[in-house]
This record gives sequence, structure tokens and C-alpha cells, in this order.
Amino acid sequence: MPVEHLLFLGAVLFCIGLFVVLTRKNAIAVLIGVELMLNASNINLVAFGHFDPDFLQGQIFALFVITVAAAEAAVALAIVVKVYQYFQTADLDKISELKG
Amino acid sequence: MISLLQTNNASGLKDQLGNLSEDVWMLAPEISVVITLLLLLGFDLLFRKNKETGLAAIAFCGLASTFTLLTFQWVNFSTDFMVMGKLLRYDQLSLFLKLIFTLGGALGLVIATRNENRNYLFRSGESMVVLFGLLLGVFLMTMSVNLLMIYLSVEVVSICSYILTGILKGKKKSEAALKYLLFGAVSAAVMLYGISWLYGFTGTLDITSQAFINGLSEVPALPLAIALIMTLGGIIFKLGAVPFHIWSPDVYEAAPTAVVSIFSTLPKLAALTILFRLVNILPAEWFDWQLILGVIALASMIFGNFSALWQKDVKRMLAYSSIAHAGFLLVGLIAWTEAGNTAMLFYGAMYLVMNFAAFLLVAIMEKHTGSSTFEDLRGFGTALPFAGVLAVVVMVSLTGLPPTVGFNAKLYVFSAIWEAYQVQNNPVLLWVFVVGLLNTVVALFYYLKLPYYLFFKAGPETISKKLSATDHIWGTIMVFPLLLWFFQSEWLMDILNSINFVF
Repeated sequence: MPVEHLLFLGAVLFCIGLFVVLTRKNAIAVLIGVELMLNASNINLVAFGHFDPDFLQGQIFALFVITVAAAEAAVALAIVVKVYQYFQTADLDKISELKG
Repeated sequence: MISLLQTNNASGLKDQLGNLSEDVWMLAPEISVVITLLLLLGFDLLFRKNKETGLAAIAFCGLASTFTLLTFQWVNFSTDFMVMGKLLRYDQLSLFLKLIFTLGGALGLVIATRNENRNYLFRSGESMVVLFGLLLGVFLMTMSVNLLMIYLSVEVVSICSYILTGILKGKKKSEAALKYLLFGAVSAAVMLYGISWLYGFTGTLDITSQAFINGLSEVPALPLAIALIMTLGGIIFKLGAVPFHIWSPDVYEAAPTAVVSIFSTLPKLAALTILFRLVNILPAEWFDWQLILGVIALASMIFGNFSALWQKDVKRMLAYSSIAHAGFLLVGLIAWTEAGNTAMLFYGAMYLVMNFAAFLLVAIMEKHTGSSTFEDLRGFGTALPFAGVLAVVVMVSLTGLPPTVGFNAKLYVFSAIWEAYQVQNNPVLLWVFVVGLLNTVVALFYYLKLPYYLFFKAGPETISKKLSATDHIWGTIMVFPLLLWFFQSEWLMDILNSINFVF
């Protein structure tokens, strides 16, 4: 498969992720958008890593990204649960105690 | 042929492992932080009695041993070194920053003991563990010269920060943590996408290698600019400068004061170091980073200062002031001269001292009045003149007026950029110079608003007139250097001048 296709897939995925992040009001949906953006980078890294056969830095980087994304998702969901306890909602427009 | 390759690989691996075990000594301070973290975790699990004392003792001992190791490394420093297979760089810049970060961590813990809800940080082992995780992250940030390491260390600091913001109970804290997390996650994802392109352009993750520089020079200007700006985005987020600043006022208002004092200094200076190392390798012909960082610095100064004018809460005001200070920190970097680098580091160190002093006083004020809004602080200075005067000194220093060290810091930064303008003739530098000076005048209004409320507004009689002896001592210890270094700034400048910035 030519590398352009993979890069194009990555770019499309990144744009979809960014679109979801910017338009969705629900905190969980925004997190899903972030996951899409991270996976777009992973596709890029693995695609470019193909040209780095000695060190495979791209593949290794992608593995790290997957791990970090899992850690971030764990913290994120814990915080969302906590916010839900106080606000009874995950709608970002309604979570606005802090202003000014 | 194949067997030859295998033996080559095997001996290469053996050499590499041998090098790694030598490198371990270079990383002794980080290992000390990790051991402290594990001890805190173990103590928290095993012991139920005297938890606060035990955790505090382990934390302070750990910081002391880290500080000793760093001092030892600083004194015996001979030459720059790439450690762990060129993932990290061991040099004087990172050693100096790690020294002041260790001090900052200790001061943050001191502020935690000064709060009205005494020892809230020491009561929960988790937040202490996460705090040391953050310390490890900022240590690694100062040393990172590899895109993988930059991403990982930034994420370590970010994830620890989200947890520290939200770990204690409170509606506002949980909201601030969610906002912080969403902004942080998005900016990290944007940075990562930029990094993936930089890797694609160059085929290497090591930003100091010749292959990286050669690779970048072959890329057309537009894709390079997009990839670099995306990469800078994640770092600007940690620096808390415009346009990735939106989280900071909310987080500063809601998070515990001790934690905020650490957020507002350590990750910012660490992010500045990464920025410094990254722009260091970019010749200006391919990518006009001076223009981009100049615009960011200008926007941060203007936005931070003007928004701070309308704040009703001291911590929120300090949040906007820290956005403005992020702009001032960038000024030294933009000058791009030896003097500018030294001035940037001096400003950073002094900003750290001033901010810890400011947040210590906020913690004392919160303890006495139960709130940090200007309205509730009326008459605080009349009731407690000593703490009030200390607050005035810190605010004058943050503005950048004599006789405090804030003046020296601003003087060095602005004289560096003026000299750079006369040599390089870049109009961006002139703009930064003029707008920066004008912004100092704007800053005067909101910083002096606090003394005005403390002394000239009559407050309720309920404020307790007794300042504890420990508060007296810590207040003096943290504020006195601001006056002393105004007269003795050469002392620190000599240390900073000995740092070799050549890459």
C-alpha cells in the first residue's frame, strides 16, 4: 500500500477528531474525539516508521502513545465520574461554576 | 553474512547496555525522586498511624537528598553529555533548573503546611505520590532532546497535574480538573500529530542529530511551518501562554494554593526549556520562529495584563498575571543572544521565587479570612501589618519596580532584547520591547489593587490579629531574598553566566 494512502487516512481521521472535539457538548464525546486524533498520529508514526527499518522508532513511539492514551483515558473517566457526581450531567455547557 | 550481522548486533547491544549502566549515575537525582515516590507509596499502604508526619518526613528527606545529589553534580560538572542512548541531555542548564525545581517543590510543600485546612496534602498519600510524579516529569522535561521523550515527559506532567487539580473534594475542583484535562488532551494530541510529521520529514526523533536538521531543510516552508506550529502548541499549553491559556484561571482558582504555586512555576519553566532546545536547532531562514513566538509573547502580555485588571479573586488575578509573565519569559528567548538566554533564566528563577512568596501569602490570607477574594481581604493589612507589608513587597516585585528583584529581572530581559534589536534589526523585537514596557505600567494597576484593599479599605473586625510565629519566619525567608537580590543580583548572574548554552 502506498504511504500516501495511510497519510491521507491519518489526516482525515485527525480532522474528524478535531471536528468532534470542537462541536460535541458531551465530555465523553470530546474524549472520543481526542482518541481519534491520537490514533491519527499513530497511523502517521507507523506509516513513517516503515522507512526507518533499523530502529523502528515510529512503531515504538506508537506503542508509547497507546499506553499514554490509556493512562489519560483512565484519569479522564475518573474525573468525568467525579464531575457527574457534583453536576448530575456531563454536558460541558452546563458545567460552568468558574467564571470571570 | 547473517551470523556476522548477529555478532555485530550482539556486541552493539552489550556496548549499549554498558553505556546505560554508566548513565545511571547521571540520572541519580531522578532516581532519588523515584525512590522517594515509592517510599511514599509504601508508607501510605503499610502505616495508618502518624501518616502526616511520616509522609512529610519522607517527602522532605527525598527532596533534600535530590538537592544534595544535584549540588554534587553541579559542582563536579565537567562537560555536556548525552545519556540513555541520546534520549536525554545532561548539561548545566538542566542541572540549574532541576536545582531550583527541587527548591520549588520544597517551598510548595511548606505552603501546604500553612493552609487553614492544615496538612491537607500530607493527609492523602496519593496526592504526595502524584506530586513527586510531577517533579519527575519536570526533571525529564528539562533534559529531553528526543521527540519521544518530549512527548512522554510533557504527558507525565500533564496527567499528574489533572489528578492534583481534582483529587481533593469539591465541586469547583472537579470542574477545573475536567476543563484542564480536555484542553490538555487536545493540545497534546495536536502536538503529537505535529511530532509525527516531523518524524516523517526527518526519519529521526533525535532533535540534536544532523539528520534531523538536514531533513527539515529539505521540506517546503508551508508543511514545515504547520508541523512545527502544531508541535509548539503542546509546549505553549504547558507554558500557559495565549492561545492555550484558557484553562489556567479556572485551575488556579479552584486547585489548592500549594498545588497552584507549583503549577504556576515548575511546568512553565520546564516547557520554556523544551522550547529553547527546539528553536535552538531551527535556523531562522526556514521558519521565522521569532515572529511566531513574538506574536505569542505580545498576545500573552496584553491579554494577561488587561484581563487581570477586572478580577475579583487574588488567585485568579495571579493566574492572569502568570499568563502575562509567560509572555515576559518568552521575551528573553526571542532576543536569541547569549545575554537573552541568561536574562530568560534569571527571570525564570526570580519568577519562581516571587510566585512562591505570593502564594505563601495567599495561603496565609486564606487561613485568616477563609477566602481569597479582594472583598474579603479588606482590612487584612491593618489587622496584620507584617503580612500586609510582605504582600506589598511581593506585588511590587511582580510588577517589576525597584527596590525588588523583579526590577532587575525585567531590566535584564528588556536590555537583552534592545541590544538584540540593534544587532538584528528585526521589527518584531522592537514591538516586543515597546509593548512589554507599556504592559509593565498596566500591571502596576492590578498588582497595587491588593495593597489598596489590604490597607485602605476598612474591613470587618473579625480578622484574627495573631500571626503565628512559623508564618512570620516563612514569610520573611521567602520575601527577604526579593529585596536582597535587588542589591546582590551579580551573585546569581555570575552563576548563570557560567552556564554554557551552546548546543
